[in-house]
This record gives sequence, C-alpha cells and structure tokens, in this order.
Amino acid sequence: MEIIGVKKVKGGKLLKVLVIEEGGVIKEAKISGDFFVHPEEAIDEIEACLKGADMSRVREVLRDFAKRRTVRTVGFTLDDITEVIEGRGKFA
Amino acid sequence: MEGLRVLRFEVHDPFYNMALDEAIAHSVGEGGSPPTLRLYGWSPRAVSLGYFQEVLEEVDLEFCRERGIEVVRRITGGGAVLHTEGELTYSFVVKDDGSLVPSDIEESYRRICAPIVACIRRLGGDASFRPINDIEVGGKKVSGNAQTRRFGAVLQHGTLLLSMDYSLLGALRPRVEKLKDKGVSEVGGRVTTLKEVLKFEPKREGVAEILAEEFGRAFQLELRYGNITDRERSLAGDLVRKYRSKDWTFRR
Repeated sequence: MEIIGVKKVKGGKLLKVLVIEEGGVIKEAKISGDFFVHPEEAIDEIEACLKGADMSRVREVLRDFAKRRTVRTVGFTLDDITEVIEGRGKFA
Repeated sequence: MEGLRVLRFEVHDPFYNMALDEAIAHSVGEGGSPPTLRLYGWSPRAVSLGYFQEVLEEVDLEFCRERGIEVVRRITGGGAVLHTEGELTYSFVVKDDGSLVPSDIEESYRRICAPIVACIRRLGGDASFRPINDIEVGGKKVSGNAQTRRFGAVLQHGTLLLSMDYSLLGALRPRVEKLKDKGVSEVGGRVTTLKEVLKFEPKREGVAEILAEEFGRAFQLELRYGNITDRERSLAGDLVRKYRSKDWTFRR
C-alpha cells in the first residue's frame, strides 16, 4: 500500500513523505519538501533506515538514527516525519 | 582588517551560477579563497529548486519550456524560486569555523540576512527579517535565502526582488498546504518587490554596491573587489555539467 502524507509544519516548512508499506513493513520511503537538513545527504540515510522498518516502530527508528548520526533539521523535526507516516499529518 | 572579496554583479546562465557558488564554497572551505560575496543575475530565466524538492510537484515544465525558462536544482534546501531579470542574487561564503558566522543555523540566517535588511532600509523600504529564512516588507516576502554547510564552508545564497513579471509565476506550481498557513491564495499575493515598495525600480548594479557595503559593515570586513581564482574557474567548469544533467535535476 502506498501512503503519501503531507504536513505543513507549524511556522515551518512543507514536509512530504511517501511510504510503500507491505504487511506492516516499509518497503520504500521518499522524503521531500522545502525544508533544510544538514548535512543534506542525511535525508538519504533517513530514507534508507526507514526501509525495512516496522510501521509501528518508525518513531524509535528515527530517534535511534538521531542518536548515532549528527543531523540538524531546520523547519521540521524527525518526529514530524513519524507523524506524517502515522497519518497524523494533513494528507494530500 | 580582514577582507571580504566582492565579485562584482554579473549575469550568467542558471547552471553556471549554481556551479560557481559551489566552486567558491569548495575554495573557501579549503582555505584557497577569502570570505566572498558574489552578486549576480540570471539569463535565461530559471526556476531553481531546493535540494529536497520534487521537480514535478514544484515546476510547470510545459510553461517553462514554452517560455524558455530553465530548471536547475540547487545544492541548498528550501523552496522553488523563479529567477528573472528583476532579481539581484547574492551568495555569501565563509569558512564554517564559527568565527564570522555562528554555528547555530537559525541564528546564522539572522546574521547573514541583517545586511540585506539594512540595504533595503537604506533604500527606503521598511524591511524586517522573518525567521527562518525570509525578509519581508509589509508582511510580504521580498527576499528568500538558503544555506548549506559543506566542504568546510557556509554557503548562503538568496534573492532580492527588484521587480517581477507576475505572469511568469505560472512556472511554479502553487502548494495548497503551504499557502493555507500564510492565509493567502496565490504565490503572487505573498511576494513584493522593491519597485512596489519604493515606487521606483533601483538599478541592480547600484543595489549590489549598497548590499556589498552593508555586508562589509555587518561582518566588519574591508571590501576588496576581486575576481574568481583559476581553481574556482576550473571547478565551476566541471560542476556545471552536474547542474545541467537530468540526473541531478530530476533526482527527486
């Protein structure tokens, strides 16, 4: 199942997440928008670590990632990604 | 007093513009070039995309094709921008060592945008910084800015709108979610230009000189008008191929 979530982060940026999910597991994740991530390549690493993750563990997966990798986000947080995937963002 | 190399206002094509900004960032990061302010314009016109944006979501490619508007992806995040002859663009590059520009990113936008605000104020416009990365007059955006920190450098580039042919904004696809938050229904409605604010359109070269003075003042650097180095020229020549490539433009 393909899930596309879009969130306009309050006072921040637009965050769009596309997730392809099969049996509760993320097969593919694509994150886009007008936000900032430093270093920029971290977004590819975030997408990679979501791949294979259980849909119910997205928040933990992203928090673990933030612990082992110094990544600075501007205009959104990694928790916003979780909320979009869990459907608490505004859907397009 | 330490110097700020100023690269005088020049107009270049979109791909070279982005390649040269990146080349300068490499060179400044390596210590081969001093802090640098570059002033430039775009010809042909172009839409520049943020690093993380999806091209098909942001750009009306047919509209652009029909009007000869190029599309280029930036190395910096942020939103899509339409660049026309009514815009003065700058790039400001310093070493990412915390000495001239704070390591805190949001604070550094404020610092680097301050001379742009001062420039508009000197011209008579009541400009103010709007976090995270905009400058506004009367609640409308007149300057957008985007930053990256790579190669040991801080690169911030951004726009200052002198005038705008609003009929060209069809190049950008409006985002419903984004507009909702700002309470305006169209892209044109939340943008303004110096021409509208000042009731006359200042010359780009003149605004560029004022902007350079204000950068010098804000960072306490002596202005040194100069040129790009051989290394920057050759790097930009290599990088321009990336910016022209479909792989890069359509990577998201």
